[in-house]
Amino acid sequence: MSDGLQDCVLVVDDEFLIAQTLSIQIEDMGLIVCGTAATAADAIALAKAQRPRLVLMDMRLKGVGDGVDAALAIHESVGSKVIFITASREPAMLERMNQDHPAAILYKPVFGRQLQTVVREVLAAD
Amino acid sequence: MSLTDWLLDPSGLTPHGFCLSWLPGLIWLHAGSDAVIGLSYFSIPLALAWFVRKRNDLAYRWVGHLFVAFILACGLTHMLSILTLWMPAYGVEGMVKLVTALLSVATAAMLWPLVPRVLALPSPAQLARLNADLTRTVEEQERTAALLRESEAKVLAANSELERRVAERTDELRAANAQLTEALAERAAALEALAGSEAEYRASFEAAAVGKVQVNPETGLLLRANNAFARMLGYNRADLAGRMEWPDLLWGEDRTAEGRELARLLAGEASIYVRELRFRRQDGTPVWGRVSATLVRGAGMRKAGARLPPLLLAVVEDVDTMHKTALALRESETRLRLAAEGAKLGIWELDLARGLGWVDRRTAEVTGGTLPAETWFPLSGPEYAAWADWIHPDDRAERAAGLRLLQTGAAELVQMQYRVRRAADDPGGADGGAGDGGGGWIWLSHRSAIVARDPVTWAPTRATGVLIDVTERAEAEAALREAKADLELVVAERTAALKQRDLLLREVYHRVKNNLQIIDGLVMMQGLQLKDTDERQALMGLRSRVYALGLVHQQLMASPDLENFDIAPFLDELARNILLSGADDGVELDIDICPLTVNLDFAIPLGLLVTELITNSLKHAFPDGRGTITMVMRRREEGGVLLVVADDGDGISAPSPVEEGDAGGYRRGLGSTIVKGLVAQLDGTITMRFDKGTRAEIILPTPAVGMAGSPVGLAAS
Repeated sequence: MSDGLQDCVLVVDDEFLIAQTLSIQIEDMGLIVCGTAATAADAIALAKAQRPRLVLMDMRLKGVGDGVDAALAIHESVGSKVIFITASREPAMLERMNQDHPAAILYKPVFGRQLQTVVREVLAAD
Repeated sequence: MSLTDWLLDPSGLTPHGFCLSWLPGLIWLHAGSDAVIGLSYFSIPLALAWFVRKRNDLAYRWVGHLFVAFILACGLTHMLSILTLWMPAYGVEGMVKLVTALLSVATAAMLWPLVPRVLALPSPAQLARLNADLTRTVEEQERTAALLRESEAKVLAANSELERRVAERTDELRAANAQLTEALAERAAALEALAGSEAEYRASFEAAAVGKVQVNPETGLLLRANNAFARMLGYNRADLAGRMEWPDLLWGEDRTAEGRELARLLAGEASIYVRELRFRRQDGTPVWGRVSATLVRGAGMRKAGARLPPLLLAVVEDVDTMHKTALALRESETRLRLAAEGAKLGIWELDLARGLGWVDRRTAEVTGGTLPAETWFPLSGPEYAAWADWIHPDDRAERAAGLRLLQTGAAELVQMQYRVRRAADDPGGADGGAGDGGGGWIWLSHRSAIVARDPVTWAPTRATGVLIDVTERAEAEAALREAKADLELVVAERTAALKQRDLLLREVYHRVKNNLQIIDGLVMMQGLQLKDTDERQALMGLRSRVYALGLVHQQLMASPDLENFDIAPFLDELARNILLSGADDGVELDIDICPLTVNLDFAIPLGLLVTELITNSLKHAFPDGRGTITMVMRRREEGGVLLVVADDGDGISAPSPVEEGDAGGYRRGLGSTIVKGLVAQLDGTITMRFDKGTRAEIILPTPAVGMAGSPVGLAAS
């Protein structure tokens, strides 16, 4: 990997249990979770520190800024791929997410092998 | 002996003179006589030839030529006799004599037969006689021709004389004719003029639109009456003249008055009377007529000097309709006045030609008595100027513009609305509400039209108009506007409230989904703690059910009204997710679902129902991990919706025994209870078949969807 990114996944969600569930599923795939963040600022800081290959990004976050803001910053500074995981299906929100050229969008609730399938596809797309 | 010798000296004899012994006298006698004979014989045929040549008309000319040849030959023999006196050329002489002999014989022979023919030719004497006869005949003819010419000349002379006299006579006749024609034309013109004036009189009498009557004033008898008069009184014209008397045709009550007028005419006190009076129709009803009557005294002098009695000439106009119209007009005016008063209508008129105005009592009241009622006032006077002060200042310009349109004739009809100050004694003041300090304002609707124009300049000369007090209406309109504004405010508030509700609803759905995700996470983590496969599977089933709930909320949030959405993509996504999260890769889906709009109350039980059925098939139907699950939904013709969930797996190998009559043959257990309960909740029925795989047929009533896209409907429910 010449882009300097680590083979790990950053999970961003302000709900602990959801972040935890996602992390378990990622680890179940044999991947490493390099951290979980609940705010946009934390997410950006963690991403800069860990340089993850992939970020699972929730839309609504605690504090200032939402998932799109964080994803844009991470995409610019680190270059990680972003999979949005959102409970929202409103057209305005979709438009905002698409600005960031997301690798994929998943709608909550995300069940079963859905997440693992998508993550595998995104990582294989290199 | 040569030919020349033979010719000139054949015998060697001496010349002939020798025989004469050369006696000079004898010799010269012979020679001289022969010379004369020969020359004469030469002369005769020359003359003869000349003659024959000149006379072309000579019969038998060839005889002439024969004579010429024969005499010439004779002359030549005599000349040769002279020669033989001194030369013994007896050959030549003999040859010449032979030629002469031949010619003589020919002439003699041909002369005989010729004689009778020559004799047949007319002799000069005969010709002379014939000629004389001819000359005589010609002379007689010339004489006759001369006589003829003479008589022709006489006839010509006579003829020209005749023509001259005919021309003279013709001129005389023409002149006479012209005089006659002129006289006839004069006479015809005179007759025509006469006939014309008679016809005119007759026509004017007979065809007049007004009634015309001639009456004998002494006896009262009708002498003549025209059609119009007969028609007016409803009589047959034939029943009038000579049969009816003038006074009998009059209405009883008017008879006396008419009699007095007639008496004045007869007495010479008046030359004419004009009077409106009633006649009596044949059917006994009265009819109004205007009579113009005069007496003609000289009428009888027209012929033979016999003096006839005076004649009463009357022209009778039918004024019945006019009388009745006037009556009706008075009635309708009264009605109009009543109506105008009842409707609070004010009426005004403008005499634009004279610059005068007129208003009725009601209008005068409205003006607070500023304008005088029912009398003409000058538009340039103080009354009209004072009235201007009564008009609301904001409305003056509009009113002036409207009146100007009317006065210039630019518009036939002008309608305007303006406010005037309420008069202190206005009867409408008590119930009017819009107080403005003193008397307040009233709204007038002013409608006016041009009723007459100058026929030459087409400038308007008269205009009329009505004023209506529309204060109540205007106030009602204002109140309505206010009410409408209030309503709009309420609507705006409601709209804002609904927007707020939508926002809250979205938030709720969002949280529900998040919570479902958390529950899913908890279940999953719990599952990780379990070792027992059945228990883990039970938890997986739980996760599928939670997912169905979450997916419904996902669909709701994507729908524009947060209430209704199409079931087809929902079921599709649901089925695929269940398959994705729990099945082997060999299982395939075959989905055919009709579009159907549903709401939360229908979608949640249906979603859970489908989850149970598919999960069940995945669990039991495909022990080798291969097969197809079919899901079909369509509208039934007899009403309702049919949902089929089926698999082509091995239903027999299901671990739980099949029990008829329990949930339509569904297996026992939690799934069975859920399916049974949800079908009942949806008011549907379920049939299970296990002949070739498992097949569930569910019939559901078509979901009643409220007003689509109506957030108000949701708020109300």
